Amino acid sequence: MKREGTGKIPLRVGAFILIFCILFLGLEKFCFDDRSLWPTWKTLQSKEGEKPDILILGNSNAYTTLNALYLSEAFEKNVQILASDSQIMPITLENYKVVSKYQNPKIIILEMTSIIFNTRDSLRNEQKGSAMVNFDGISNYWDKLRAVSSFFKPQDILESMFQLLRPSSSWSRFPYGLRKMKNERKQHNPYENLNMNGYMGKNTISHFEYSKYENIDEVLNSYLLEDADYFIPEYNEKALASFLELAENNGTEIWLFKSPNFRLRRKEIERIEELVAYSPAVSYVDDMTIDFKKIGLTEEDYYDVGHLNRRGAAKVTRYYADLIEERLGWEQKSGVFAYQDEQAEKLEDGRWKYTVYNEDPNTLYRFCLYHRETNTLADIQDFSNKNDYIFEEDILESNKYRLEVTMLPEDADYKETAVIAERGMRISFMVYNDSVIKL
Amino acid sequence: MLFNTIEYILFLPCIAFFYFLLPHRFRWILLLAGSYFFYMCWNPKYALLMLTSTLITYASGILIAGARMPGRKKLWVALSFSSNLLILTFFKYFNFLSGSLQSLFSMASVSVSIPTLDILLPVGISFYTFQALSYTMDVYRGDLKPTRHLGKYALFVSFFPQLVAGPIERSSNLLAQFDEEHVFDYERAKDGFVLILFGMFKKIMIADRLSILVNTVYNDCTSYNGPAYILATIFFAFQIYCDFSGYSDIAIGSAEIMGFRLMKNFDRPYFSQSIGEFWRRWHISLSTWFRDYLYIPLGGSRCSAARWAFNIMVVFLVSGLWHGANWTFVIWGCLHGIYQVIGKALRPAKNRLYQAIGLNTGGKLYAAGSAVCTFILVDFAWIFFRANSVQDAFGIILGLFRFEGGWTFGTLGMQKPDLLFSLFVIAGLVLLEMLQKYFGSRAWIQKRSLPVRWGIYLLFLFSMILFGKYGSLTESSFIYFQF
Repeated sequence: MKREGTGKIPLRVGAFILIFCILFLGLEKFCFDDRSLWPTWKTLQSKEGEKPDILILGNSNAYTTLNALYLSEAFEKNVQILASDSQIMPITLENYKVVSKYQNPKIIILEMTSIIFNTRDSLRNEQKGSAMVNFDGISNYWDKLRAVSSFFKPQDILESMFQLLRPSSSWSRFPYGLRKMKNERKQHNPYENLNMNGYMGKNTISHFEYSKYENIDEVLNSYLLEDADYFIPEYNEKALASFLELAENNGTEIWLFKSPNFRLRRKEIERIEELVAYSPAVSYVDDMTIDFKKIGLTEEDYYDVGHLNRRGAAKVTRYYADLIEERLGWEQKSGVFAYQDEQAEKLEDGRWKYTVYNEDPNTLYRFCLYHRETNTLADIQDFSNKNDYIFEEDILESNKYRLEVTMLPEDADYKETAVIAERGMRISFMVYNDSVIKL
Repeated sequence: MLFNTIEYILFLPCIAFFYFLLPHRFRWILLLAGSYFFYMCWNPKYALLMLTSTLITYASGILIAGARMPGRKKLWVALSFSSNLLILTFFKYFNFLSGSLQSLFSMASVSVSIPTLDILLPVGISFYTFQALSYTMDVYRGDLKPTRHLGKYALFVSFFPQLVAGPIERSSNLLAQFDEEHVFDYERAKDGFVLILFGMFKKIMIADRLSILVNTVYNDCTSYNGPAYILATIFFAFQIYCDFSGYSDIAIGSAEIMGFRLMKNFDRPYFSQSIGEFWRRWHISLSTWFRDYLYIPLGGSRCSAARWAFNIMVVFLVSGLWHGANWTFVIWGCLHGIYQVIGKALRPAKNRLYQAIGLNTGGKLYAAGSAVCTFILVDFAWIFFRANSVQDAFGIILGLFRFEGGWTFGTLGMQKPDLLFSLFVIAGLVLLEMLQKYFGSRAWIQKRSLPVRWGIYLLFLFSMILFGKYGSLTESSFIYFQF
């Protein structure tokens, strides 16, 4: 290759590439919400951060079943969820490898369907968006490169590393950046529905009736089907073995649990038990003998047969809190589970009714409606035993309203502001259409 | 391997790097291997077809040159043409012909079952076949001595930058360049990269963006109203231009990096003031091919008006058919032929009218008006080019005059910001082309200081990154790949 002029050409080319890379990385940082470092990832990727007592790993079955925040509050411990859609064991393993570089959870609770999902091909192809989102939370580029290189095809590595290179319409590339420019930066709220790496409660409307299952018994007992064949992909078995080895080296205890949905058969459970039998790290394996109906689980608690809704999640979380208390001897703080659930319901006349449930039936409720962005009070009701609020307005635009519910014990003097402040439990919800989402 | 993919962005620099690293005498081997590899990324088996076409035309060139009798020369030409066109017809037109025959028999109430074949259309077959046939004709005419170097000839047919969607190169231009020893030139390589950048910009930023609305509307020829169909048709005009010219820019730029000069394929066609001028500016390599190898042999314009009209209609009918195995393309081609025939017939009357009203036909107003009228005619014809069927095309044409009913942005396939942005980029493209035409904007950029030049390049790059439509899940192939 003949050089034209002096050696300035490679320097010039190198400088251009360097400037491009700097601008690219800056734009990537500006355009994409640093909430992509979801609180869990953010916490876990810092050596100075508080070490999680319990880390919950898995896919949507994990993040729609166990409410880490409730568990944290109940035990005054640090419980985190790191989960993403359709996650399979190789991805779970990579997540854990990154986590273990910085933090060492005392216990990892792994939801077992990530062991049986044989979706690696689709996660590398038509569903690769879901898989890529999982790795977005990894802040260190070298960690991320190692993780994505182990999973994706070489031609997809750049796209999995940088969100700017993802297929999407132009406007979705920088909503965060635009909002930042317009000074509308959304405050991150750890209670808000997140798509991953945190508890995401499904809407309380149940779609169970659209499934092929008649009732919850069929769902819960599907594992009993004798003729159900099983197939656990080899890549999941290998990843599980590496996962357990890493946990053993780190001194982390592993619990395997199963969300009460249909996606695990008995032979699969047996195979998983075989795989973990000789691992000293594994101290608990859900053997599917839990009677979820005893804790009040019904068809109404399912968003769909694969996922619980918020109400169901509250019930199952409470069950697992008791299990944690029993196995680890941690004491549950009282009153954390007093607030039970909220529900949205469309009335015949088209209005929406929001109902809040508290364990104590004599609770007093007050509903305050705010225009969310400007925080202007739109409506206020007095304290009463009435635990629901009906919207007089038409279907609302999403994200527009905040419904604040204050609950008091019946004997509290709700006329006194100081009493409300001291004894009241205030919960805010983002409300729109069929969703009531706790803030 | 599509141009707008990471694979190509890695492939091209690798090829270029090793090209300049190798001694000149081995470079053709690298390019030939790279070109076949490039083609086989689509379908390895169809490389055999390309090889067959190469061998046939290579052999015919030698045989033609070696034949003493004119009759024998013609025989070899005929064999070369017939065998190549037979392959092309089989793979591209078999199902179209059988389907058309079937329809014909059905209309005549004759019950005949004509089979169809499950054949994948080999990418670029129309392009490399025509390129190879042009070599045969050039040798026959004595414009070119046949090459004895099979490898370099195979490279001429398969040269990867222009293999699958042109420009359709002439052997007199490209073949000789494989004997030139190219030296790495930074300025030339930079120009090549800039051209590639601009081509990618047109494809990713404009063509693929506009395709969203076009595909949504054109896939439903009854639900929308006039404004929606008009908008979609205008969008398609720019989509196909940016898609095709973008590809050509990438092809030309890729070749330029290695020192090869490919022919210009587009010259601001929507600035044309007549249909004839449009065809001198649109897909220049194809229109000149038809001019040199079909139109002129038929007699060109050196004949009676009726014969000329016949020649024009044949050329455009064949051109339409070349574009695709569907009656829509035939009608599209015929429309352009009709435009030219009517245009020529009306020219004396038009001139008299302009004289009578004192219109200055050299003025800017006339030029702008002519360009707009030409664009309308061309755009109307694009309806047939884009429609899925003749029936759909007529459905859309009827829809153009339907003003009741409305649409929402969501039903067009894009939201208001995207739509406004699409209009903005079209306006930007027109402005850029005007700047290039009247002020030589590219040369102007080259004369700027380094920071300004780099700023412009980075602006293009980041515009594509931020606003482009791409990604491995949605990468769209170029429209002309289907030909």
